[in-house]
Amino acid sequence: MPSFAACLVVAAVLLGSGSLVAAWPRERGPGLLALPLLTAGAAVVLAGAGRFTSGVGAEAGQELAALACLTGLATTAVAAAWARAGSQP
Amino acid sequence: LDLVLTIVFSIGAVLAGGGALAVALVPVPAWRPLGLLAVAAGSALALLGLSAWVAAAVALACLLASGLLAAGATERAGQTETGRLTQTQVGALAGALLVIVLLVIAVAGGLTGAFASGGSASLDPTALGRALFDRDALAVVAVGAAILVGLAGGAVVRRRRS
Repeated sequence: MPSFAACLVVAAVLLGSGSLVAAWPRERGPGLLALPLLTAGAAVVLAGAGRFTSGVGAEAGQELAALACLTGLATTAVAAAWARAGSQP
Repeated sequence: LDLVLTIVFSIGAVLAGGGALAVALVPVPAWRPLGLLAVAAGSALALLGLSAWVAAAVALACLLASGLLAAGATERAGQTETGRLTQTQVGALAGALLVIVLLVIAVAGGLTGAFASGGSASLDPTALGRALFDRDALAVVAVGAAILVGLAGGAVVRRRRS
């Protein structure tokens, strides 16, 4: 069975990569790519916390992970629409 | 079963980490959608390894859609009509897959015993309906309201632009 530390490592890689994409000013557009990475990291750490820590049920962690994914999708949709509207002449 | 879950989690972790690093570090723009695809698949596999079946399915669908949106918005400047058509086809395919999954859940309720042995989640349509409309009714209403507001806002913006 995977451990909570493994979950934290995976989430740290995802969140760190997302933060790097968001903060690295290479081009203007790719900042949006950070949102799926941050969402995935949040989902993994929430599911892991629910699975391995006492006090939080596994089902609660699973629901929070699903909620994080839905929130990330909604945020990406709004950000993509915003970027598209901003690039209109 | 623990060994299988560990292997699934490890594969998902490697896939998600590699995809995230590819998105963040590889300077070739064509690799970014592939990296996002790897992140979506890897995160879903990692959640499967944590016995979070429902969260894995939701994560796969949401992260794929989120990656498509982000990659589409990023590469919109050099986008051709063919690319736009491909994105529409991918979206239609994802919608069709979602419908198929829902049909499988609704029709093949007999699989409940096979999937519910872990005790974490089941594919029982009755339990799914109770979870959605009884226990988590407020959350479902909130999500529905958010989707309605988003669709209405998108329609208004599209009409104003045209």
